[in-house]
Amino acid sequence: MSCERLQDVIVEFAAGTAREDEARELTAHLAQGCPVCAGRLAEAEAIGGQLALALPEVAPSPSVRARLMERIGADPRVVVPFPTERARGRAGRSPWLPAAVAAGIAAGIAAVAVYVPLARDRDALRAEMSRLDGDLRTAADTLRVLRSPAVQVVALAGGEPQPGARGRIFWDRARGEWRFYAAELRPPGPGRTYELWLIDDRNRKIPAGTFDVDARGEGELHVSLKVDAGTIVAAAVTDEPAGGVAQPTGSIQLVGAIQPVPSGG
Amino acid sequence: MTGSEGPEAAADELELIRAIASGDRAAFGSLYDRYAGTVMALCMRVLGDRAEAEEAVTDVFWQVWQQAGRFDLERGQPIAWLSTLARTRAIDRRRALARRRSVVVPQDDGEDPPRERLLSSSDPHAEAVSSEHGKRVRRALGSLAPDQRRAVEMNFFGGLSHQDIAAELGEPLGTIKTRIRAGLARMKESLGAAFEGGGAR
Repeated sequence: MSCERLQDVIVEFAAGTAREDEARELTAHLAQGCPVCAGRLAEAEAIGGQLALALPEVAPSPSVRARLMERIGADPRVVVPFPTERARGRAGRSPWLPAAVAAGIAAGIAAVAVYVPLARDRDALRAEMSRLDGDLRTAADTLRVLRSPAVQVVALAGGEPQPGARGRIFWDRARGEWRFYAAELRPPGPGRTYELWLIDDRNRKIPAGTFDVDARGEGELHVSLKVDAGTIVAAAVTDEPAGGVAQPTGSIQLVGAIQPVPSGG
Repeated sequence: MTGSEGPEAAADELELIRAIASGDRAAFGSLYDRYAGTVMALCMRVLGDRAEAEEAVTDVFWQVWQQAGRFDLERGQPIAWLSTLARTRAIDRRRALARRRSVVVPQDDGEDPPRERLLSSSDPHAEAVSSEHGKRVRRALGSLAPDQRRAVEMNFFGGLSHQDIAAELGEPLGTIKTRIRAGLARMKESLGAAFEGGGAR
């Protein structure tokens, strides 16, 4: 991606509002060592930091600090004190190597230089473990639904605006849990979102939640919704104003028939 | 108290980050005491709920503890890093809440953070900004053209993306991007040396 096009992504990154795919793109670009974008990001974050200081402070409850201190107290990090010399030169301008390594070399403490990469590896591993743990929970949860003998699979096909789009619903009728997955959907336009509907045999549309799609065109929605299972005959996705609506107003992007089954089945 | 009151303080803060990276818990406590109020203020703006904002504050400072060793001193001041973390964690949490809310159906009353709070371009508590530096930033913000200020605040305080802001204000996306960029450029100019080199003065 060009540096020019990344300018607005950089602003959104500093504001915390960049989409995940944009943030990934920017991070990858920065990792290649682009000094222009690194400079722009530093500047945007500096302004973002200054803006934050304009807000009246709000004190968190003392328990927040207490919990954090307890948590870091339990963190089995090796403590290797850095040299306590004061920072040299102008803040942020000094041509320091990353702090830890520089301090380690300056003080001739090999342990520091060894510790930092280890600590970084451990941090990276910890973050990875935490991510994997989250993924595992989601996967286990999904598997639980898929395994349920009461699960019904519904295929949705693209409507006229997006004939290539596809969707699938795994409906655990006993628990009233719906797992909906969409693929090949275009991201909704600005201020728009996608909304899933269940349609009963009297053509009533029951809103089942809104979702967005990622850069790959994939989106998902997990819904707990008890309905009279015997009456639901179709599911559809429409394009609606952001936040969703109570009754569909937009065009049908995905639609699929649901084989009715007896209540409680 | 508000941090970043001068070059001395700025150098101290970088020392704090280095100390935290080495596992110094007291240094962590000092950084927390200096910035928890600002981080909380940002999280409250985005989330509008005290309990949720406190969870986000916890996420932010835990991340600081874990990643201080990766903080790039050349990237700027700790407040720049902290505020980006705060905005990102708070917005993540808001998205997760929105997803959870969409699970409860029907949910007409599933409120988003109150619109007035996100859209307000004036702050009734502005006078409560205690530090001189905070007042100065506030004045710089006040010197922006009203539409620039509104867009910058919606983005940096309300946590609305450029696209959301365009939709909310019924303006073209390009106009919003231009406004925000111009607003930030003007802020930089007004604050001048205040963040030259990332430091606050």
